[in-house]
Amino acid sequence: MNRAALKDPAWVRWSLTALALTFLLAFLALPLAAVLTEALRKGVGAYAASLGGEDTLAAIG
Amino acid sequence: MAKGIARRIIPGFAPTLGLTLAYLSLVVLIPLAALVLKAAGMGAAQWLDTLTDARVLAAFKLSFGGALAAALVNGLFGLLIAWVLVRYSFPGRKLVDALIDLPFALPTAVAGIALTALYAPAGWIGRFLPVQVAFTPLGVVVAMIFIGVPFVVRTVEPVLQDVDAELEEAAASLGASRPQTFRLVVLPAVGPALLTGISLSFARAVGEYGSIIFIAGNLPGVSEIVPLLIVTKLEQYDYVGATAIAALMLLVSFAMLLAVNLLQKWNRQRMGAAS
Repeated sequence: MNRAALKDPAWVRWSLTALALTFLLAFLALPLAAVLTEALRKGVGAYAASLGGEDTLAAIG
Repeated sequence: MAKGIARRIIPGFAPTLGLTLAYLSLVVLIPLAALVLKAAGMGAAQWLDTLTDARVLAAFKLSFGGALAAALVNGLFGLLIAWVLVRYSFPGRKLVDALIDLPFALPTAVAGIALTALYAPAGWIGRFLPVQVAFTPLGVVVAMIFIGVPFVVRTVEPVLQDVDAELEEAAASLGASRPQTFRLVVLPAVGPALLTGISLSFARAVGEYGSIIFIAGNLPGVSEIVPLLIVTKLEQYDYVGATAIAALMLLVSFAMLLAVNLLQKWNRQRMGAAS
């Protein structure tokens, strides 16, 4: 079915999408990235060491 | 009343109602009643004393003012995100759609630390901003926005999906421009859902603790939120003061719950009338 009447101009589509994605980047994606980089900052070894700690294991399971 | 019960077709009304009420009492009603009882035990003078304290007033102002600001920002951007996700297609749309629920899944303390790291003066985002965000009331609002986004997006998204395309086509064929169609056809349809999402986001922001306390800096009278004040008072063995504040928050929560329920009822009635 042709829904030409409902199609927004390309510049509207792209600017709205860009605005929404910028908001999500600042409020959702970057915090997630920050958590991951902070966790792995000292390498996988340090990450595994703190994860394998007795208190951590007790809290997780 | 007796007539109404006799007419029920499905059996087991009494035991299920009993179980429901018993469970609800145990988990919700008894703790709340204990809180009200404890608060009622203190004199009016004590109440006024606690609640007119400048520090308490500042915390209430920040908690409710910040939550309102965050809810409005979430309303605007939540609607935008829902619109983009439903109406447009772009690479990674499914991934973005899945990402929306992140604040529900991420432990709030982790979210708080991540946001603080981002918005601190030397953080990834903070270094580009002209004003300081972390450790100011603005930081509180940022954390409140973070935890509130999914509420608006997830309430608006399904309603936006159900908006009849033919209505919009009819509007277009009658000469309405796209902005007019959006304002007069789409917005009234998603309005109630949007309001529900905004109130849910507001309610969550008012009660939020974990993700805010890291980024707030917790300066008494400046960037201290009400839930933190309750914890502070409890740690100082000021049970009376903590209870007074908690009782007032409970009152506000009830009022908000009522508002959300009324909004949802209104939403259902409109939807029922439309179809």
